Amino acid sequence: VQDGDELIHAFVEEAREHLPLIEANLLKLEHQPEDQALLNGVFRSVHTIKGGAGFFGLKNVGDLTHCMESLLSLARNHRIVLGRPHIDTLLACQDRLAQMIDDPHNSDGVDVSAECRELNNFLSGPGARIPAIRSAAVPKAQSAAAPATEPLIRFFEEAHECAPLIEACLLALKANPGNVPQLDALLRNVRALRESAAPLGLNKLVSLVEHVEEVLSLAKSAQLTLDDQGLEVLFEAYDRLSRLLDRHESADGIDTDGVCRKLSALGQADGGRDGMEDLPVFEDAGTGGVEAVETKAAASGAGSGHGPNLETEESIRVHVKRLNKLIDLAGELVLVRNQLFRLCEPLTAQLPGLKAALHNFNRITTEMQEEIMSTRMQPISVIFNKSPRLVRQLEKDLGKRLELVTEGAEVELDKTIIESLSDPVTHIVRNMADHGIETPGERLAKGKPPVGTLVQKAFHESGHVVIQFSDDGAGIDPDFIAAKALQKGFVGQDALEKMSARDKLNLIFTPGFSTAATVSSVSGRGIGMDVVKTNIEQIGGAIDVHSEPGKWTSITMTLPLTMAIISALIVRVQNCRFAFPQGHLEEMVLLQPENYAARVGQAHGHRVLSLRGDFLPLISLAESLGMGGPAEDAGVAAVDKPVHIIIIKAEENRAAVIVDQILGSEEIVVKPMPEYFRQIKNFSGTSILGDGAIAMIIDVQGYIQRSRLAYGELRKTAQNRPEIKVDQEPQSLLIFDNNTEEHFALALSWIQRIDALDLRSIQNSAGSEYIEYRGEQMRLLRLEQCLPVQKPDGYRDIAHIIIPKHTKVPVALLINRVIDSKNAVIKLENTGATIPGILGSIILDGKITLMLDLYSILKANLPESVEKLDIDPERANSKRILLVEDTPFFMRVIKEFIAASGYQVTSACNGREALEILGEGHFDLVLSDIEMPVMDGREMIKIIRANPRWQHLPVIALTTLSDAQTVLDGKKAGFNEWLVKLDKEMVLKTLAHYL
Amino acid sequence: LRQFISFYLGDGHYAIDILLSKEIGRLHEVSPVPEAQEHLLGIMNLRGQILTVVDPQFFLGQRSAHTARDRILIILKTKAELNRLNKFSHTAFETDVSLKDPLAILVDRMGETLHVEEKNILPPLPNMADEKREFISGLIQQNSQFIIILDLGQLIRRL
Repeated sequence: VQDGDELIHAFVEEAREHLPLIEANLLKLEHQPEDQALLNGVFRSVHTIKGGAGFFGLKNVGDLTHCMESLLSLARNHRIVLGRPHIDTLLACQDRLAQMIDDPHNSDGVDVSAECRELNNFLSGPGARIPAIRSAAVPKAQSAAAPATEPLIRFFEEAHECAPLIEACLLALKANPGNVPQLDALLRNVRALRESAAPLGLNKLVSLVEHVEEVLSLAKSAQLTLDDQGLEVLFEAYDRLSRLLDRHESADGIDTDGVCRKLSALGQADGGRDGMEDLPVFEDAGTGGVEAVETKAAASGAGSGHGPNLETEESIRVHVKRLNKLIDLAGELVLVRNQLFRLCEPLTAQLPGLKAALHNFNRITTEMQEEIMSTRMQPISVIFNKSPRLVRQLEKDLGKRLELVTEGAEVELDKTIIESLSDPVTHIVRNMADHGIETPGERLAKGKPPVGTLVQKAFHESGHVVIQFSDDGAGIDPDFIAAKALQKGFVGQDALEKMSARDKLNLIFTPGFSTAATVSSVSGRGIGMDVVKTNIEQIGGAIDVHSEPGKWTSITMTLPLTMAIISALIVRVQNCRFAFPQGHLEEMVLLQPENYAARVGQAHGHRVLSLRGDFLPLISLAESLGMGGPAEDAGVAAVDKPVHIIIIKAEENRAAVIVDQILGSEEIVVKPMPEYFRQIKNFSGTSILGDGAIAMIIDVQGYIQRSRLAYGELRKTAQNRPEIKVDQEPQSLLIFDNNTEEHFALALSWIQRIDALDLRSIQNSAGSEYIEYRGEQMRLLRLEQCLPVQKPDGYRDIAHIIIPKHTKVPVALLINRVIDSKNAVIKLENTGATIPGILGSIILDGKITLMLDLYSILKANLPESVEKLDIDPERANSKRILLVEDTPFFMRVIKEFIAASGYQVTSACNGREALEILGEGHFDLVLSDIEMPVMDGREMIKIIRANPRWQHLPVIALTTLSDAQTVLDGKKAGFNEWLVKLDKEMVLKTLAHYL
Repeated sequence: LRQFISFYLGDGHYAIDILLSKEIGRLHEVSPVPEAQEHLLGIMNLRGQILTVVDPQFFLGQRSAHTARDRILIILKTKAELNRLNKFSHTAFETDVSLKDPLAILVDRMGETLHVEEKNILPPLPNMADEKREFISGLIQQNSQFIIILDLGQLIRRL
């Protein structure tokens, strides 16, 4: 029984793989009904299920698949062309099959008669009975089989007529195995086929038919009882036969060997003594012939048509449990590796070879872990492939016209995540088709194409997988949503007033929200979007909706790649460690005591942190977790030590969390929280860190919610300030390492060139290192000599150099290699303000990366490389400069170097703020960014130049764009100069010129 | 004949079936879990597994005189480990103790191992206070003293 269960389980699994294939192929067939490959695909899948069903005696499954197969055979033989009604019925059958496969033991209780009847109607309908060899098929046969003469064509014509008869007989026999007249008819047909084929030299076909004939003769003489199994073999033989007839030109690729053997076995097993003498003869003929054919096929290579069996990929089934165990073990191995590394670190100097071995060990472990993790990965197509069918059904139900576009179906996600995506995706596609896309009439009236487009797409983005659904339909009107929500009492009027358009849109995720004017069968039952949101959040993802009313809607899900290993920031509070998943982390802030009073305030009874114009609730992790500890002053009183703050976010809500220490980021293996702590909601799991310590993983979403942070209030506070910065300009960064664990970043605009360097070419002279570069002696600076960073244990053979722009003497910075260059919005805090040369740290792709200040480094280590500008500090001190810049990073860098030259600097975040400040006092010069929120530099200069008071005020543009046309346009608009932002020297020179 | 391991906690002398225990260990580097109930001392790394440490003194009305570092851990078998045990032994060991995740109880010090015949195990005395009786599954008389057989199943249900 156990074995049987296991086998049937295997059957179910296999069938479940075929069912979606059937569906997908059928849907494609609707558009390309003549595509033989598709037809064969469906046929093969149906046939496989039929075979299994026969084996396990699943009568209904067998009957249904058989009827499906019959219809498909007709199509394969070009007797009918599958149209919409056929596909409809076949899809209905596929549904029924899926239902039966889900519970095979009770499948015989499922009524399949309706489906079978419909299929049989097609079979007896017009076209089915009239043998019509399509003219296209004949030339094909002719061209392929070189000596194709008239007899051959005639044979195939005949055979095509004959084949359905054989099948009909077989079907009748299946229904009533003892039906002697049917058996007679069958034998007659088969014999006729053999007789016509024999003179034509169709050896393979003849051999197969002979085997069939033999079995049938035995059955006729009652030496063999044709049971279900026997019939199954005959059906299989028929299948091969019809394939040989279809594609006789590629007969070599069709494997008849297996079925011939089965037929022989059938004869032998039940054949009784009398049949024995005859059998060897057939067997010889059969196997001999086939062998010859097979060797020929092998010799001719893969050029000719492949048999279906060759297409299956090499794979084995492994239970998920086993994979999970492997993943656990790989996780353990990573921990042990980390421990081993720490232990061996001091020994590497004494033990030659240890370092190399550790390196290898490291590499192999990492690779192995990745491989193992990938075994659980499945392509998103598993989910996306369900949509075509759904869309097709929706088209019909809703009377709309839809086109589905799929992109990125190959993107892989963890199996667990894939599984929990199924329902959300269905809901979203339904909602988009129902609420989003308009009827063709409405679309035409709006000047849109009548066919609405639905796009489902998946792609990778910064360590996450993003799945996006969009339509070009009616869009969502935030005010309409708001009105609905108000009407249903989900939100109050006052709350609504504070909401942004985006907040309003997100109200569609409220439980019980339904906007469909009428509740249809498709959607609008008020369940759905909230369930979608819950499902996505449960797997650690986030969901967001965007829309432009009248034009489009898009729903974006951001999902973790896998749930078992995550990248997290480890922090310490007292003696406990906590891990914050990287996906919920925005940035880290080190608040110096002297800035504390200015940055921390009190609002609505909460501490708040002001961060670039935003107010974030400031919470102490210790306090919020009830850890007590040293009496925490919840007020805004000054502190005496720097405060470590991390900014976390869940959806739109951000919070600043005070921790005792930031330990760094680590890839951690997530283990579930022991069941004994189930009532504690702050943690989503635990993890054992590299050093063996335990960290609890903060469930950021829940944590923010439970901290009962009054976001509405805070937002109101924030909104009272006119326009906070929305977007920041991304800055191009070069990310590199120095063969240590640390990652560094430099603004690309500072770099002239990057080149490889052969370490042997370094020369030493008077305690300094030089290289010969392009005919010049170039001074070489090492990072670890300039900055308090880790010292590398040397480099591989090739290291790299970074050559800065605009230096007075040739100089290069030695690095190991460039990791990446990317555009990133730099959110930097004055983390390392005390270290000259380091601007601070940022998180890039989950790694803490040190932002370097190249000019400070050069100034400190090779002063002669930086031009000294003759600026009279006293004169400078009397000049007031207004610096307009929205990006905090640039603001800080530029402000610093201008102020260092002695000028008085006032800053503004955007054009409007600048105009306000200009109106209030006297300024000698304005330095302004161009791309800014609220009011950009171009608009600002218009207003400045329009005011007679400021007509001669020097206004200098500072940008990252410096192509000739832009510069020209800028000067035309009224800017005195157009400079590149980080070209410090040039900026100072220009300032000196104007002031 | 059943075997028990006995241990001391506060003023009490307790025993549990030896088959329920997996190993004896010491407490090292336990991480407290914020907001957990006081009897849940925290979690620790037991060779790559997360082990939850329970201090039973709060259930038993005892007061340990030792600091946590000096106390002893009795690490219990999980359900899977008990199942494995039953698979390889001839007589099935029946218990209502069913742990999904590894758990250890913290005691003051270990006592001797006891061999007791089933018939010599006494039911809880009627004069014992109710709140204490909840965790007593039986008594073993040794000389003039009673050793309490701890009802671990009940204790775990209360976690």
